[in-house]
Amino acid sequence: MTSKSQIKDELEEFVKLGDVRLILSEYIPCDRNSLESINQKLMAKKSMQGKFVTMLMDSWPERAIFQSEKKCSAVRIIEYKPSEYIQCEATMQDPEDTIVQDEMIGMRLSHEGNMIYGCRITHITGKEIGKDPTASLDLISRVIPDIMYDSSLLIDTLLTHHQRSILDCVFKGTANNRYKFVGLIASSISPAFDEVSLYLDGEDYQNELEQVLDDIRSVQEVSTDRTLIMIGEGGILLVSPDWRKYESLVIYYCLLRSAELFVDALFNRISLLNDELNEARNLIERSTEGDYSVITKAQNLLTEATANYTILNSTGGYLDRGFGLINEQWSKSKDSIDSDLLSLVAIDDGFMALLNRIRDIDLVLNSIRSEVEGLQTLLSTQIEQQMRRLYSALRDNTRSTSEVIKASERTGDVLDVIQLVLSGTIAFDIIMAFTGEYTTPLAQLSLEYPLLFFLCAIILWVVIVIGLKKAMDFLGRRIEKEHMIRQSLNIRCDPAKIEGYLADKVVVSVDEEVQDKREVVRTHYLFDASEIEKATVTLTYDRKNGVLQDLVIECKGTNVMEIKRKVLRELEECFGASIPL
Amino acid sequence: MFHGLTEDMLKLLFIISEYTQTNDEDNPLWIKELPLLAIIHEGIVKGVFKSYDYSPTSVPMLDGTRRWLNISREGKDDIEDLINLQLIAILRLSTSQYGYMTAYKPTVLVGEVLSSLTPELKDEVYSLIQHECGCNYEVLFSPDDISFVCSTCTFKLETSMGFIEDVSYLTEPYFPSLE
Ligand SMILES: [Zn+2]
Repeated sequence: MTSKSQIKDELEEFVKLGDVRLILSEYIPCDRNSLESINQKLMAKKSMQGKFVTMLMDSWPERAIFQSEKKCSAVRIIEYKPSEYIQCEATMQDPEDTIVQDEMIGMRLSHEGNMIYGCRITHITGKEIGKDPTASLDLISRVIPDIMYDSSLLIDTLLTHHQRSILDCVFKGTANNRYKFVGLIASSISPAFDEVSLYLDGEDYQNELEQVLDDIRSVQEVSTDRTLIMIGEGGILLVSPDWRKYESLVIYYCLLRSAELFVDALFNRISLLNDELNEARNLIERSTEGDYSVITKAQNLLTEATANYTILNSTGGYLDRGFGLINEQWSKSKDSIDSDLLSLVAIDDGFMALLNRIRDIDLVLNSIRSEVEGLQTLLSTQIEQQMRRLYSALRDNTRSTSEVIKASERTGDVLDVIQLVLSGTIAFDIIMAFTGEYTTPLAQLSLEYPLLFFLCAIILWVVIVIGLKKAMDFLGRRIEKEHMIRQSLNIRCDPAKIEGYLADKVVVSVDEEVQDKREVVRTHYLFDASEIEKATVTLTYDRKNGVLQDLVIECKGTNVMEIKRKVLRELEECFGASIPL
Repeated sequence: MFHGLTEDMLKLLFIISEYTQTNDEDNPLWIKELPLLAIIHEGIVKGVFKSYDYSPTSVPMLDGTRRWLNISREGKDDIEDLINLQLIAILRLSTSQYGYMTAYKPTVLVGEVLSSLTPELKDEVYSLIQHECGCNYEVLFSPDDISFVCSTCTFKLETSMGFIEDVSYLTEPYFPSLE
């Protein structure tokens, strides 16, 4: 153990590799325009050596200075074919790394969406890795997570905003921890068994191989040139002195398996979306049962789920396109690969199965779309009904408020009159302050005929009261007051007859509230009681159950009762029955 | 009867039986795989499991995200061997979050094996799974927090299962050929 490692465990190293190349493969939704946008970020068209790229956005374009994070990725373009692929080398130093790492990674980004990261491991814990098998799988298994994480950071700085939001959605905000399928290529292995099955001992050798490949699915060999292929759930290992011959096979296999990983994650995310929609549905149902407090929550939930659906749906489209294209490429390049090995690795079947899975994802997405649309309609109906309830509550409120105002107006009138009377009294009091209590010749009369005098006072008082009352009524008539009466009816009647009656009225507005068990219609129309008197009548009836619910009459003038009688008479004529009150 | 059992396998069996003891015969207890692997990892660090190694593995969490954890392949392999020997039973169950979970419990055959354990071996295991007060640790397992908890003393020991050790290395870019 060298001083350059933090491993607490004493490692027993059984399997070692020589001349080790590591490939990480992943699928990221991409297209020619996204690739072009990445190109522009890298200024790929200009031949310039190395540049730093950051994923940070410039929030203040008007400022002259930009503050970046401590470490950025440094990228140098190696090869570039417009809107086909970019090949670049990149390095990233994670600020948290305490041990100096000098890692350069090759990246190949293609418009179909397959991203390949490749590197040759030249040194581990200070020791050089040459042709001889000296790199232990124990150590390699500790290098892989680091490169996998850093490659996520590197590609993150290059991707478009839309691509990042797809990754963020699919991997639930933990995109940097996503797994990439591992391809290991080596020219030699120790121990070098003649019989490949010896590696699957179920003990030490297999355990170490599974540290990098996860559970092993199969082990294959091409005996003619001592080539060994091991395939696990998480990776593939190729050991061959003539490894260049099998390079593209490994790459295509990694592509296929990494796409499967992406489809797995996508399907998992879609299931979660289904859950989110179910929760939204529950909340909406609760609101139909009268719990209006949850409407806003349901609205937020549905908005978020809809946004996620839009992202996942676009991802399905990218997969369709990308893997159609990759499959075509594979069909062309597979001719150059050893046909025996080809049948052992079974990439063709893998591509067929993958394309079918992608088609099935579309199926699930379609069913989710109808669910999203259904919920949106349901929710907007609920919101509309809530608005209606709010509106009618508001209307009743306004009515009672205006009645209060009118009552206080009348009180005000009375106070005005009292004020007038009082001011008169005060005026006389002031005069008397100067003159003193004065007596007239008539004063003698009151002493002689007290009863008569008292009677006269009473008569005078009555006259003044009547006079004032008349004056107030006169004033009241001059300000035309608004009157309103509500008459609840609740009688059965034929809705067609009501509508026939309303047909020759001037209808101002109609409010309809449709629920499961009733359809309440509120019609506002104008009623001509006579040449001068006009009233607004609101007739509320339940169209579904045929019930005339109530009648509200609003008019200016005093004879509301008269108008009400007229309206009721018209209704009686129309139904041919009397209306009991 | 079970002569093929290594010392580490016996310790593993003892841990599984310690965590699944219950008086309720109708509703047996099972130990979940990830917490068991957390105990194994801690056991390797403390030197209880002498023949095991661990290495970073990308593990799917129940919520569908992934995390790098130090997992012992040898430990997993020994669990499989114990299943094949019918000393432990395996249960697969789905969770409310779409992930699948594995859990283990000892079979009836285990009694005979456990009765042959030496007190030294038991003490070694207790030093791993018991707090100093003598209570078994509960294993708390969530994507952000993997720790051993003694609820009697409100003591918490964070494990290093999620801490991936750095190894220094050098790499140079490699561009595989697609043709
Ligand atoms: Zn304790």
